Amino acid sequence: MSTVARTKLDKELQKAVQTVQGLHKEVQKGIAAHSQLEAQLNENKIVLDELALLTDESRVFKLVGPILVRQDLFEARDIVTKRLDYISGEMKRHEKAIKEAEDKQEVSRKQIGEIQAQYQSIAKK
Amino acid sequence: MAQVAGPIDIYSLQIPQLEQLRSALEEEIQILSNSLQQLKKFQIKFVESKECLQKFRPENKGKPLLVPLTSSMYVPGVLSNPDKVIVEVGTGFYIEKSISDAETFFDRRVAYVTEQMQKLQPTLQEKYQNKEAIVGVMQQKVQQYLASQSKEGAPKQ
Repeated sequence: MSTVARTKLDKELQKAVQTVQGLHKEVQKGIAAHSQLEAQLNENKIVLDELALLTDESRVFKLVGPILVRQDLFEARDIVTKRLDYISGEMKRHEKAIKEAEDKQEVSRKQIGEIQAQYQSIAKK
Repeated sequence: MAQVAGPIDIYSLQIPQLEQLRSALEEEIQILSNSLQQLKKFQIKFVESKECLQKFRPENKGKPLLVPLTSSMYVPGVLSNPDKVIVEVGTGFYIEKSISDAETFFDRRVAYVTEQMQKLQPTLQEKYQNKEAIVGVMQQKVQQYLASQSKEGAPKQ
């Protein structure tokens, strides 16, 4: 009887551990993506600061493939501002996903704790 | 990620926990010194770019120069316009600037990078000290453990 209960617990434990590991990877991936976005956000902020310093007669170029294309200053500012919005949005999305994965991880961890407690109660019998 | 609120006494930790802390710190130190190195690289790049601008003087107009197509191939050229340069400001944007504007731009960049480096340095040092402290405690614990082992083992022989 106790061996049956034990194999059942073994399976449950294995499943829970796998879930935690999977979630851990998800969190790691989320954090990596988030920090990359943060770097991009900073770079775009710097660019916007630079663009803000320019006057109307300044000439702005955008690198498209191997060539530099002349670009309107206001258009450039617009593009960078939109990019900043997009990146901040993406960052928030990742933050949410990370938080969710962490919460799920916590639930699975508790499960593991419960399973371990059950092991002990079986062992005492 | 595994930040513990408030200080904890590292003497109260077991050897495996200490080892975990040590490797986590080691990883952080690795990342921080990588960033620092990268910043240093950019700092040098900006300083060099600024130095290059000193050659852009009106009296050098029309003078011949060699233009690098790759790091090992050059073609002859002539400096036709010593008044303006195009600098990259990031994310693929390039701006045409006068020499003095470009100089202040690079000054700004160098100042920014230096500031970031100064922010990183104390953190790196702190992490390093923490690691040293943990390694020290680990060594003590191992020695205590070994001493207790030999005491227990002695009477049996």
